[in-house]
Amino acid sequence: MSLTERLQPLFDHLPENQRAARAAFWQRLRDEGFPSKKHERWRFTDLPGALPDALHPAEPAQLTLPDVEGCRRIAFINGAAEGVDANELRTEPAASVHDASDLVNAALASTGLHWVPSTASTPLHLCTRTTTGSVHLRHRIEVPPQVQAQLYWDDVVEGDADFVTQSLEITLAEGASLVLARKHANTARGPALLRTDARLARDAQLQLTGFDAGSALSRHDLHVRLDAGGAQAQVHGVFAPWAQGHIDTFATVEHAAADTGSRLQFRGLGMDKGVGVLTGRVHVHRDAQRIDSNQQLGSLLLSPRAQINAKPELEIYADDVQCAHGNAIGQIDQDALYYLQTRGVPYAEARALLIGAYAAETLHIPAMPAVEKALMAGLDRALAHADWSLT
Amino acid sequence: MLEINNLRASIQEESILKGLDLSIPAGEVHAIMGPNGAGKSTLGHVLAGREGYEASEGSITLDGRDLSAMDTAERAAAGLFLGFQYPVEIPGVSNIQFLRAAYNAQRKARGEDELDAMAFLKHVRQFLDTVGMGKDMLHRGLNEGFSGGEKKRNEILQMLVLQPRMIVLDETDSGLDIDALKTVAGGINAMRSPERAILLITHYQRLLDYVKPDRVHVLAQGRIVRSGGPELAQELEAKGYAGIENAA
Repeated sequence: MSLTERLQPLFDHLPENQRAARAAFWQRLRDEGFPSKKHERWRFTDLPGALPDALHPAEPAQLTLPDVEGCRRIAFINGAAEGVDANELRTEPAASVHDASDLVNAALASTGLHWVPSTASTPLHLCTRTTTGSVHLRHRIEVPPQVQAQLYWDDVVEGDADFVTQSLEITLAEGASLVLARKHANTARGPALLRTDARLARDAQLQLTGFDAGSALSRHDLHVRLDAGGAQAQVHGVFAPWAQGHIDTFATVEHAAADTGSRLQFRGLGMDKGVGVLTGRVHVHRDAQRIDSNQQLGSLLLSPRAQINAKPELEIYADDVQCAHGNAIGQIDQDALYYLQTRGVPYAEARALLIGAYAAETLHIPAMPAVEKALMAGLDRALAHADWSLT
Repeated sequence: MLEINNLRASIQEESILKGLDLSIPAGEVHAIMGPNGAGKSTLGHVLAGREGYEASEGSITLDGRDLSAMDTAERAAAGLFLGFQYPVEIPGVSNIQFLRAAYNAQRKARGEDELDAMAFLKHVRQFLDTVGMGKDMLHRGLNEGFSGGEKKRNEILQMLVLQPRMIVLDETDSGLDIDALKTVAGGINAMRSPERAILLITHYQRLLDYVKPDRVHVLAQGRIVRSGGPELAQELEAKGYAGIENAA
């Protein structure tokens, strides 16, 4: 059965008016299809192959959600909004799509968060939970000029969830700043497809820190575009697949203007038979002179069966630029492990301490210490789930 | 306290320890001296249970307990401390985080209550002056960017904090200037007790000017070839190891 045939019941389940508004995207998806492994950007990840044959609309659920100190919590549980103000609920369809993989979400998403923070806004804790069926959400955040905002996106996909797509569109106006932390865990039977698209105006600042873990397939397309001078993006991420988990991150920073800066730092932790795929792409436009970019990718293979495919990519059309990059894959330092053990720290605890230390710098969020703690707790949980008998 | 009988060990199929016997009673400080390649550092790692350093023959007991049946962390919880010649740098793990993890892991292994962060900090601070370390060094990455002398002081701090029963210091005096040597020696002397034993592994006599040993042993070609009082160290300093090696 083709991908669109499997998705058809979900599109049919949308109310008539929403179907009509999304019909053009649906038709494009039918015509163009979903990228296969023959497509360079999808060569390590077979999303259609990971989809269950039958996909179902999600059912309502009652869940207990965590609180984070200093944050206002809102939620989408199996697609249903909870605690979201009416003016924060998105209903309009996507204005455009970014690539073929985005078509699925554009065709099927009927709602999502639309947040326009002000200087008085409390940091927001966006809790998304999917426990059954198929959920598609399209969120939008617009940070007005000179406003500083903080968002923690806490996403869990588990149980009988068969297919989740979520898209987060971000615009930062002149002088605006956003600290965005995201935690994603997928242990469900179906895959999760995430997308973050950010556009930064003059002197805007984005600090994005993500932690992705799980035993299922997750793909995160991350695209940051620096549109005007002074715009700065820091993109940090840690991914930790365990069991048969497959986590694919495709991160792109586009320097579309001169005098912009970016810092990419990713850490991969391959456990069990987990597969990590990471592409870090820096694209410098022709007139984007004097840009300053640094990309550092690093991974630890923590099991002989784990795989990490990590690749930095540079596409540079300007001639006065700094674009540093590095990529390293290694194993845990046995000397350090032994040193800790000689002081009485048991092997498993010593290993967790070293792995935590490896990830800690990347997950450091000075503006949101409680969220940093939540991300590190997520890492501890991933380590606890892993089967270390393979090592 | 520490009893080693007929200890034999090979590293990557090369025989290093070839029937080593050593007995260190509680309350005593012993020194092992010997030329390069004699097996001194190997002895330290065999005692600590490093992977690849297993004994092929012989026995090691601490307070009558068979160390070879324990893993490295269990040996530490049983009271063994190995001070490293080259302490390992671990960026991302702060000194205080490491010390507390080690201290509480040992307490837990012994069935004692763990100390909370405040109580533990108080416990550590009482030893900072002894090793000449500032509070700021507790919050730096473990040994990260430390000078050679600072690393050795940090080893002594760990020893003071953990209060082990049996201390093995592997060339703790190497790379130290005279002031750092005196500080390190002060830390070692502070640990002397009728309930504790100390084994100093060293090339030179100079540490023994500040920490007076009860017994000195010469390790050559994988065995103890001579033992004596503190005067043996002076003799070695004057004459070198050549005569003793030939005798072995």
